[in-house]
Amino acid sequence: MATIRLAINQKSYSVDVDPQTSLLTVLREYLDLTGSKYGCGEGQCGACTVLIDGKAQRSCVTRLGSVGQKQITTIEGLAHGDQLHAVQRAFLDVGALQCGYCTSGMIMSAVALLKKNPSPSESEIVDFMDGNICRCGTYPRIVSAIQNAATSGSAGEAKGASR
Amino acid sequence: MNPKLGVEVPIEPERYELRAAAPYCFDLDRREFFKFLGAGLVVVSVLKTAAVAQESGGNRQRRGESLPNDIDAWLHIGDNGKVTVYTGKVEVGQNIRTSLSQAVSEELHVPVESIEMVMGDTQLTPFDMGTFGSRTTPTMNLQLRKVASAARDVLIGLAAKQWNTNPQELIAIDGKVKEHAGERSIEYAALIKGQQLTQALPAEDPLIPASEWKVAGRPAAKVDGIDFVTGRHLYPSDQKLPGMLYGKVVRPSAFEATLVSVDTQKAEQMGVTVVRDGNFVGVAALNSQLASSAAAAIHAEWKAEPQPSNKDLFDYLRKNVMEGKDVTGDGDRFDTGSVDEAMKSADHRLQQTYTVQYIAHVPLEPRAALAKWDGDRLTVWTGTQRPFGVRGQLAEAFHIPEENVRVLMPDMGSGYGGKHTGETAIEAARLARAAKRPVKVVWTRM
Repeated sequence: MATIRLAINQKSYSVDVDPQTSLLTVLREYLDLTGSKYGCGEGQCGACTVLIDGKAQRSCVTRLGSVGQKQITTIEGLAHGDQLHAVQRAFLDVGALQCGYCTSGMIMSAVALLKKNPSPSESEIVDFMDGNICRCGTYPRIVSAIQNAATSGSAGEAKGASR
Repeated sequence: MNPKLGVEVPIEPERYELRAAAPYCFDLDRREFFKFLGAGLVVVSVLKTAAVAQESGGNRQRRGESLPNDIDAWLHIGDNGKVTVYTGKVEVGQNIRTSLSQAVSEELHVPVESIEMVMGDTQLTPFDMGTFGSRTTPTMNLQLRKVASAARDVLIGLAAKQWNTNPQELIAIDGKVKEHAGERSIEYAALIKGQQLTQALPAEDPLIPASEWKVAGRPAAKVDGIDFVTGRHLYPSDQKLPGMLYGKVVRPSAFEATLVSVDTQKAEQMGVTVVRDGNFVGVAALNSQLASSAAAAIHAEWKAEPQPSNKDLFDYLRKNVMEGKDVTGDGDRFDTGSVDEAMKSADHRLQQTYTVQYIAHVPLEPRAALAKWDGDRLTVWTGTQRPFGVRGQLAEAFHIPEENVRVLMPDMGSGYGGKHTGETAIEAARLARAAKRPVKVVWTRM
């Protein structure tokens, strides 16, 4: 057990937990940030994806002790109040979800992609999103949503009013 | 070609999955309805087609439908104008929460946003056999359109009475009844004000033809989509209760293995609840890490019969044909005869062997359940396509009446036909009973 300080969604938290615990477990069980999902537990499906210092990381295989003071962003921290992030808006507009269990991870990965490459080609999107699995088969719409978010121009920022 | 093969065979759950289903005989009691719902208008749908199908066609037609004379849905319009629809169908990603809302919106002439769908809650919704085989749109969608249409007619009737006019002079539009030619208009809420009205579906009530639909059958945004893109939606595996423990089950070494001996001493020293019950060994702990460590500290010895490997599976199946036994119960659905004879008399022959691997459904959200006991009353939140089936399994497993069991199905991370049964619900309830606290079990992939 150790007291670990974390910076998540612009807030600071401290948790008493074994540093070997996965970041996903801490988010979900200790901090009630259940938007990040457990899908496979071994970094293969992408449902647990969060941003750590802007990079997409699988929180289920990220040990808490390795995070330090890096900035963590989860799906809950993406919108600014009622202002959805451009990628969230695009997923809604395109209807890029069915059961939605992969959606948090998809959106977080897409945000990381657009941060690195603001106007990716279709094949660049497909390559980058390769580690995120959707079992309902919404891939074509996910690609469209990311393209929409990219062309909306300010993909790295929250944009558009929520419903 | 055998014409019988051209008959559409609906995709259905395995027969064993239907064993636990018991009909829920709902007695329509106005007082009960309004005690729970508050004043308003209730329209009830009784599934008559099921009774007709049973008389004319035997088992095949009845499967996958509700049972005769069952109420399969109802709709409530509160005297605040709020529309609530109750159905035992569940949302697993096929987006019926949206499509059924559209159907009601179309016939009732209210915005989609004003409709709340209560789904798959065994205490609040009518019995439903389950959500599978793409049956929701041909059956429940139609029933809800009828219910909404009947509700609209009642509202028009109320306005006609109030204004002392002919109902044919009136139309429903945007949550109001209006005069076709005149000026008068009144909101649904105002028509219902303080009353307790019930209506069963009339035998014949013309519905709006599909060619005239403005809302139903058209592209629409997922009604609660915003909750999904913001991470707010709570799936079965996200459920939490105060004082809840995390459960972990010690899995057998092989399919149908039996427990020979088990040493739980180390686990018990870790401050967790350990349950040993027949072949079931599990723990409940304050967090999932501790539950995993405690389960790993349990030393269990299993006795397993030798089983065919994946490689030998098809040979094994060929050599172990179950003669004379129709374990599936599906025999009546197919013609049986001699393949050799048929081949001999065939004009064209093609001999080829095809094998298909056993495949798993693998929904992205694993099986999950949260169970809570209050005395001998059990409440379980779980991801299932058959909440009423799971209720029956829980009642059977714990020897309690079905009325003591409530199963709730939060919209889940899909199932693809693989979440029909209640294993996880039973595991969580077993652990919760021993721990005397709510317990959540989420299966892992490892």
